[in-house]
Amino acid sequence: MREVLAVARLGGRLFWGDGRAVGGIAALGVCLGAGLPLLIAASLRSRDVDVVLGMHLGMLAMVLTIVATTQTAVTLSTRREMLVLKRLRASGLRGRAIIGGELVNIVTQATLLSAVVSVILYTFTYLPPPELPLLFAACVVAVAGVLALIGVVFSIVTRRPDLNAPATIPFILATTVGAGGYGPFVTGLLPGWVRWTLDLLPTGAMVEIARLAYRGGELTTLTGPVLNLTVWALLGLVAVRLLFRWDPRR
Amino acid sequence: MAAIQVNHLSKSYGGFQAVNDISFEVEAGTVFALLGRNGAGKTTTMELLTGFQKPDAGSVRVLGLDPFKDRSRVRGNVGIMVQEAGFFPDLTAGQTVGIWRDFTPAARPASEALELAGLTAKAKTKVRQLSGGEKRRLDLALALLGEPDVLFLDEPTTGMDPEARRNIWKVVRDLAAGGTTVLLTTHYLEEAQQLATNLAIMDRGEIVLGGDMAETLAARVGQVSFELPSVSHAGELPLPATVRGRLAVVKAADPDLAAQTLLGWASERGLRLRGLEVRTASLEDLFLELARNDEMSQTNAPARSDHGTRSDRPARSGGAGA
Repeated sequence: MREVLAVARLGGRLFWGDGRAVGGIAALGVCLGAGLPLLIAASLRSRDVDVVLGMHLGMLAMVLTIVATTQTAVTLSTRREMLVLKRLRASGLRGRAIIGGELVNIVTQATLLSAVVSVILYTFTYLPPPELPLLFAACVVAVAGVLALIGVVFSIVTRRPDLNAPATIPFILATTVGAGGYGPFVTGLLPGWVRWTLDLLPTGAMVEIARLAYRGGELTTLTGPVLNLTVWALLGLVAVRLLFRWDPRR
Repeated sequence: MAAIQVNHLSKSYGGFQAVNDISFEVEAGTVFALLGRNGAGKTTTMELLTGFQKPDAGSVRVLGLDPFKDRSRVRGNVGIMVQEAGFFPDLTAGQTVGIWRDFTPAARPASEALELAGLTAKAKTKVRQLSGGEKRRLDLALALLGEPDVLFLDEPTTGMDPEARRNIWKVVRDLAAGGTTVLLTTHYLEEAQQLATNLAIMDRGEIVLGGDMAETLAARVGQVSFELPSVSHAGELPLPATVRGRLAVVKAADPDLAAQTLLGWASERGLRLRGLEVRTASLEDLFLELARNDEMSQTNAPARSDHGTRSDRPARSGGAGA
């Protein structure tokens, strides 16, 4: 655990020390995560909390995918290409500590960003805070972790590091559409089987858990979403265990 | 006691045999040089010894442990200066060492590691602004952080100026004197000759020569060269010589004795041996000789025949020669 935290601290130090990265990620995340729900909330005369919540969760899915999946894929593949991963391994760190530390760092960023976006919406719209805030927080952390793990897989399967960010774009679109980020009208246009498929993504589970957290209710109804996240996490872990590369392809 | 034991180690990539059935041992507290031309298999051997790669066949023991299977236990006692590895370019040298201390149990102070590597003055310089040689020194500082029992140095002084190189040599000598086992690869034969007590020369994945450095060189001939006096011819010389133009070259196991004999001969005749040069055998001579032999064997026999020491004669450091 000491090693994981040391790598996470290193990742955090590099990220927060890079003004352009912080500015880019934070500005993009806040604009995307809070901007559209704010506009929708301001334009609705009926003060429809359900619509604003739907937009909030949809855009949160998009932000989490960008911050967790894309950023993990880009960070790891860049460090692999720069032979920094090899250097970290030469230091005696275990492989799982290096990857785990990177994930902890990314999940921390994603969680902080989600918190900022959510607080902005609670402050400037009529969206109330969740009835079960701990469940909401746990949901964000868990989904960010699974999405970051998927980012590790992207860093493995994308052969060229410069293609990592573009390669995640279809995944970002899928998670956003599936989570309702383009609004109920677009979601309503999707064929049933597409909606069903998109609900299988981790962000589909996030929406279900987060809705319960906002509205309250029986936790026993969360079996499906929790199983969904568990399956994605296991698939990611197996892929990373079997396929992760420390050296660049030559 | 052997700190590093390599037995019949092999590694191939696809159809390319990078390391082919090599064996050697490195005694604790000695410096062992692994030499060879580009592509000889040195770096692959280093990667197998440090647990970055899994051998196809054979075994490696570092401090009695398998560096691949027991990687975390081995790495705790080992410092590795890899030939190719990156840094975080926006961190300073001091920050890099400071961060690496978090990863290293019982690490020495960052200032001490920087001083050992001769980087104290560059502690506040960003890595991206360091020269190639300074980056190698930073690499050394990281490798030395954990006060390792075994130090692997892959091309440690590449890109360094002569003064920095000599400073690093001193650090390596001091470490070995303090009981650290050092295995280094280098292209600088002078470096190997200065530092190592034992060596193995690799070619195409095999060890073609190995053993105690002094014994290996002692077994090679030195040479005395001079300008043949105009009144003499080669047949008159007291020792067999080859003459190219007016330059006479006498090969001898003891070049000092040969020089004395030649000077005595010249003195008796009232002659001067202009341009007299006495050279003991150097690692460079040996290396070039092996390369020439290899080229000749390739020319003579497409299916290369073995020559010199092969893996059935393990190189061994710390006393016992090959």
